[in-house]
Amino acid sequence: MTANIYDVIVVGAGAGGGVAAALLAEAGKRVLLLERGRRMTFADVGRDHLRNQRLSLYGVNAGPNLKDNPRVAVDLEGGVRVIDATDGAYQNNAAAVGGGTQVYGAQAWRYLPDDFRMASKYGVPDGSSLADWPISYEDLAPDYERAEWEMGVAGDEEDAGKNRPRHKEYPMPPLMMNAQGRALRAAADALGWDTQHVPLLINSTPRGGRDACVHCQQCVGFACPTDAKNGTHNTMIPRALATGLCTLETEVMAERVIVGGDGHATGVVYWNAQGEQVTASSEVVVLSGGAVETARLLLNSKTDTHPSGLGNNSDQVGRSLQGHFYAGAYGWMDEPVWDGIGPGPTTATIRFNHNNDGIVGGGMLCDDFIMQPINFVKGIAPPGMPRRGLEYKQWVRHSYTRMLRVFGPVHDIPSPTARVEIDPNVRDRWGIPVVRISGATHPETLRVHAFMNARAEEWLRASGAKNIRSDAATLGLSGGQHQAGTCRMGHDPKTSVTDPWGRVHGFDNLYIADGSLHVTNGGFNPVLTILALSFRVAGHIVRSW
Amino acid sequence: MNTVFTPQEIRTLQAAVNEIIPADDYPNGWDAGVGDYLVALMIRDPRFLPIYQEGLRELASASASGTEFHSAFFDLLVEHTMEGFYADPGNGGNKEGVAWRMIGYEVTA
Repeated sequence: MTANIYDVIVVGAGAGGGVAAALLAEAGKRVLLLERGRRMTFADVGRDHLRNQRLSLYGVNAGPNLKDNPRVAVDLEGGVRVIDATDGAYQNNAAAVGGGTQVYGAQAWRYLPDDFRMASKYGVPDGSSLADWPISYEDLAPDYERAEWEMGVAGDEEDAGKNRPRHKEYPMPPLMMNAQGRALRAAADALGWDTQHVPLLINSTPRGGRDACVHCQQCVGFACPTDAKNGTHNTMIPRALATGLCTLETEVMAERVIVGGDGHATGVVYWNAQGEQVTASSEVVVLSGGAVETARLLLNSKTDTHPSGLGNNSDQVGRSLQGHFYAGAYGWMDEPVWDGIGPGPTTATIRFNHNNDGIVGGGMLCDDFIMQPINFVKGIAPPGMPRRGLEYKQWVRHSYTRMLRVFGPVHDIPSPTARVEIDPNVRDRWGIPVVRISGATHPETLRVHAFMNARAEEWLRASGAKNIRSDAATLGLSGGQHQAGTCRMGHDPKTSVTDPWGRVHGFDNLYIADGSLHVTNGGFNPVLTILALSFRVAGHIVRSW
Repeated sequence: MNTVFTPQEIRTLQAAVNEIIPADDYPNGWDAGVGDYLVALMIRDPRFLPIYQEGLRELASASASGTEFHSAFFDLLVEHTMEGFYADPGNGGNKEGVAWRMIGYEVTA
């Protein structure tokens, strides 16, 4: 057994942890990167249409192991259930090397400048924990640029630059247009709406020694057949390992962070793949477990001097759990708009992300990834017929290629009662107390959602779609793959968990680098912001070493 | 085809599956492999088998007495039949991707 002494321990090898491990190892630090999931190949992830990240009926394809990792969900009526990752209330993201980035849809949005100042712009709705970020878009722009270039984003500078100041083009041109995108662009032109390509962390040209996208039909929720989808598993983590200074341990479970009494972390206690409890020590600890598991780790690390968990003197850890409610609509075209050219999203409008009268924020709308047939059958309501019999069979046959759909994430207006706590009774396979997840987003979110549903319907009407339908949202949580906000950054330790560099208040060497830091979660897919924040946090650690 | 269901249960199941997805110029649910999907599901997820055994018994007696039958079991069977017909062939149904061919969904890579 080697001495378990490192310069840095990074807990979690997903989006945030992968970036942090690479930057720290390349700066000459000896890094221990801990990951509870496995390293997965394309074949390991598989193409099971009933067990994947878009439909987890009987299982998941990127972790976690169902039996070993229970969570407790409390519904709005107070009902308590012990659940596994196939239950939506679990708020699952993934547990694998690369985290969700091996199987994500890879939309690579920068947040807009106003996304960083929501409270100033809109005021704080009663009962909401809406707040400004302690940093601006301009502060994060250099890190967005690093994420785009070092991970690899395909996008269209001419479009994207209209909405945000940029200093450098995207490294790759956008992916191929498809039939649904052409229909939506024509409609947007007729409406006078500006559109742009959906930026994607996918190779549109060969890059980084890997192939270009071959436009397959099973992108989001699955791994890439040509390894063209850029996650930390095939970009940053290989960079970390190439230094020879990063030790990646998989199928391990972190139990707690060890701290001295003086606001200094000294290491991590974890269970290794052989089932042995290990104590590793380090100069710096970085938590990158995602918004649910990072909060859990802080809360489970309580000591006599930190009786409510680390960084939790102000009862902020685990609060304001956010994600995204998706607004949108679908309707039926006379002719097919399905040409099989994946991944699917080609055309977005961000004209409704802000400045909508009487609405707090808004959201991006775009066309969807190619929908798997079983998701279509399970999720799309046929007009005026039961979902069985010959009529339904022939309706599916006629309609699958004629569906036009736009949707997108709306601003999740945070509530302090949307919350991750530690359950007093239930423990995981390692005997570690699990999370209890409760509460709901702030009701203002539903108004944003309804407003964006109406914009989606408007877009489809202009496209010539018929029998347009959108579904109202109900109060609840939306913290699954877009989970964020449980350890928010800020200047004031009374209302935040970390400082503007991701360092936990009251500690000199305990950092967070994942979506937990997000003060608000934007009206966009959050991963590029998670990646950029990790570049920011890790860069700061290196500079201040 | 299996040791999961009895021949009587298979007869009832086949009739119900084919009522949910009848034949036209594309095969009915059973011929497309929904039965194989269901057997695989029972083996993989044993919590379903007792539900099926009871549900199929009720279904058979309702059908013998000619009464209209609707139950929570039938709703579950509709969901599972859709899974067997439209999900990937790796799950046991949708033989040779016949449902995908029917709707125009094609896997190119």
